[in-house]
Amino acid sequence: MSTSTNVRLTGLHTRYQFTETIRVPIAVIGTTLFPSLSLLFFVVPQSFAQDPKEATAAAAQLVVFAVMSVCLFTYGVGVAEDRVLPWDGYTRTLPVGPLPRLTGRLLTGLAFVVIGLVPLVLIAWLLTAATLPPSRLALAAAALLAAGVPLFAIGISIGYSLSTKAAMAVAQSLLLPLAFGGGLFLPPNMFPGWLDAISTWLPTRAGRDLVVTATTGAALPGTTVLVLAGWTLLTGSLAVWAYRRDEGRRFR
Amino acid sequence: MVTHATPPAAGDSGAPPQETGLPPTLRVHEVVDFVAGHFADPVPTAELLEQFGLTGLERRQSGGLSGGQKRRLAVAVAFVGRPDLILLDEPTTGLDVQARHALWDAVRSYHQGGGTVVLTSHYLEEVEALAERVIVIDRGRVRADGTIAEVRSLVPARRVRLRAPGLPELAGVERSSRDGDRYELWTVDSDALVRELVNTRAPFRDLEVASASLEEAFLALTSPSTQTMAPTRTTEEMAR
Repeated sequence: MSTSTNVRLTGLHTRYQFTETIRVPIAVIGTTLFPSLSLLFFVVPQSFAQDPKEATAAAAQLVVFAVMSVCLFTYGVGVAEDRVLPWDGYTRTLPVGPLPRLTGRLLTGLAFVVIGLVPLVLIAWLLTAATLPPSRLALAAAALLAAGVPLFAIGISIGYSLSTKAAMAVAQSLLLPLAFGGGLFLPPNMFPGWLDAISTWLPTRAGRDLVVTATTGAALPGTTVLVLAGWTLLTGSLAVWAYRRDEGRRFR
Repeated sequence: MVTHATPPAAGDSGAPPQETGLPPTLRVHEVVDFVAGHFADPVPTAELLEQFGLTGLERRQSGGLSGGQKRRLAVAVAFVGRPDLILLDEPTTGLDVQARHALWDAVRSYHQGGGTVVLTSHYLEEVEALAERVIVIDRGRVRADGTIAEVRSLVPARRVRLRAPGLPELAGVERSSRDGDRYELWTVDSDALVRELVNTRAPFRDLEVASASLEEAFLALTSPSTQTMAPTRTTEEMAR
């Protein structure tokens, strides 16, 4: 299949997946409400909210959290829900490879991440001292993308390997430990030594550090890139494996 | 059967999704447009919807369609890419009469355009209406394979029905049943049977002569082995 065909089909799948999802707007608002409210209730009233560097870091952490929510729920639970529907099996009979379908999913999720970040960014911008100079915007976006890849792969792995109910449970039980442990709620400099040691090896921590560095210019720990690359490889392989073995819903 | 040395490519064949599987939030025209987007020369959406009697429902979300409308939409999208081969499994189950005939017309016009349909159905009226070649499969075995006429000819081909207070012994009867004054006689040669009947001067009325239907042939072909209620299927094909 030629590249131009793949591009056209990716556009097609993205457009229809986006349309399908946006028709249930509450599902979109849901995953992004929590990070915005966290910023509003737990960051805005604090004194450090007026410190540009700390406020930016706090907002950046919650942005990573919002991305993780979308990855685990939109992709994890969403894919698990979709693939039990006969329609999903049907689209696999159409003359289209896995790439346009998965890229369509990726872009749809990305679009909802961007939509979901709007209130978060507005709150950070209007009510805290957080700043992001235009010169850092592209770098921040790239860092967020890199931080998001392993989270996206985790979501896809969950979605293609588990049933809806199991996916929901796994997504929920991963969400909070990964968020707390990765320093997405409390900054890692408040962690006790043992927690910081574990945290260093989590994909969320590496992602968080990368995004905080990109937005504030803080020093990047030496382990970050290595940890993120390792998780990307691991979760990426898991996602490919899960996608390949998927046969819709099977009963024994 | 059309045989392929290699499995047919996805673009060359079509099959409908299960009707329950349509994405409920997408509108009717969006479902068709989405599938059409995968093919180089799709049937225009408006034309396809008209063929399947769905005109006027373009803007309706597919989740809000009636069961029959959903089924027609599901079958319609199998045709959108102008495939060489379409697989239909019980396409008209649960449809009302008009909807069924609209669907049959659409299948026929696709066939006239050179397409092949493989239809699996328990609904033999549908098979008689559409199929050129019929294969009766019973518990995994092919019981019959031929045109409708050939399959029908496997059973005593004529059914004679009449009402009479009583009947004498008739030579041409292969099988008969009686319910009160109603007789049902099966024969190879109905002309000879009727002549014989008239010659006996036995009183009768409401004489009816008919060819065995495919359903009767089907029952005859599968009845010795259906006591276990094993699933039986008919597969037939409209060959090019």
